[in-house]
Amino acid sequence: MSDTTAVTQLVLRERQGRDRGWWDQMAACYGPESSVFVSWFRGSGADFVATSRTRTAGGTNPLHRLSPPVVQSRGRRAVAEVPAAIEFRTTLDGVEVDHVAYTRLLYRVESHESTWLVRDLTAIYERDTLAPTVPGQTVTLDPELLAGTRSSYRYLSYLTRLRSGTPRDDLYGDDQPGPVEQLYVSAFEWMRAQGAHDE
Amino acid sequence: MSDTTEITQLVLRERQGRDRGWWDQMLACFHADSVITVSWFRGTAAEFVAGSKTTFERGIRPTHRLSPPTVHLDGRRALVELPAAIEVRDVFEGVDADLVSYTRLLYRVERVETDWKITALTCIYERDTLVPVVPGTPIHLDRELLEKVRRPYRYLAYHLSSAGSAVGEDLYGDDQPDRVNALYAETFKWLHH
Repeated sequence: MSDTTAVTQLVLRERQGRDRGWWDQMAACYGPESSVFVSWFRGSGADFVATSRTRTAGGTNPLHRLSPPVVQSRGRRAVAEVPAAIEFRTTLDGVEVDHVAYTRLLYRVESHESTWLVRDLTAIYERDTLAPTVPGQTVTLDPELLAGTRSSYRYLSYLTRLRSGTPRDDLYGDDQPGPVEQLYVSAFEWMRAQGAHDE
Repeated sequence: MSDTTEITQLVLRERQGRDRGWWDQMLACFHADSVITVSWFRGTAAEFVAGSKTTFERGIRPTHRLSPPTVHLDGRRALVELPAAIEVRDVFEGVDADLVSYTRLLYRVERVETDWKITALTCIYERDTLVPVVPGTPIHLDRELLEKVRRPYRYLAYHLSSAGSAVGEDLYGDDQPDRVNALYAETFKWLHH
């Protein structure tokens, strides 16, 4: 198997483990010093798996609808970008709705004794949508809760506020291209830096 | 890396370059003599990349949400079909809405010395949808204009014509299966030449 295929299957397997609740499979994808930064979590890969498990047990079951990963590698390091539509069915003031957050998952991946493992996973938010599951049903949004939410994850913020939470305002999102650009630059620099020693 | 994997990554990298605004990466995927035919453009790869850059800088930044590519390989040539939902969030008759154009991108790819390069790209339109960003917000469309445009790219044509730029009536679309079938026949003939 080529490195590109191995990295592709690693990130697909990580997401499959997450969606299916196959926690051992998910945990086996992360390296020892891994980090994760997504809307509801920032920490280590191991803690991310444990917290995902707790949330799933509590009934929060999002599905990650993926597009094909784009993989670039140099020596023992690779960067994979996986577009993901994160689908979540919930209720809003008694109306059942589908929330879909369109994102890109940026993985830094490293080879450890010929096994590729995730070193970092960071989500970039593009836009999100909200639709009642029964066509034509109306959802009433509270303008106060909607006010000041970021356009790249507007309804995600709304749903968080509705449940008395405080949405993070520092996620990577296409409404703030500066930090996103910086994230890509540092990911590719990381890939080239170590990779260069191996050639 | 197998040829199939290399070609798969080539077309994914081309679209990534397009969506992210990484123009060097996008241009590097094409052969200098390539021919591009999509809704808003017909010409060479260099012109295609330059045109993409201009619209991108004007703030028009569609996202190409891809499905897995199918790769047909014969010697130094390959044919790739890449399904793409092209997403644009914009203002329609005063209302924020998501336009999604469902398409198939058809690539001709050739091995040039050691590298695979794209030599042609054509788009086939399937259908499109328009949904307001705030659920339930009515969008008052001009029904007469809407009836005039072809079904596979109805809202795209509507949007571009109300913005003053016309969309060709001769794009490949699933409402004209004979032309689409002829396109596939011609492309497979090229592949197995």
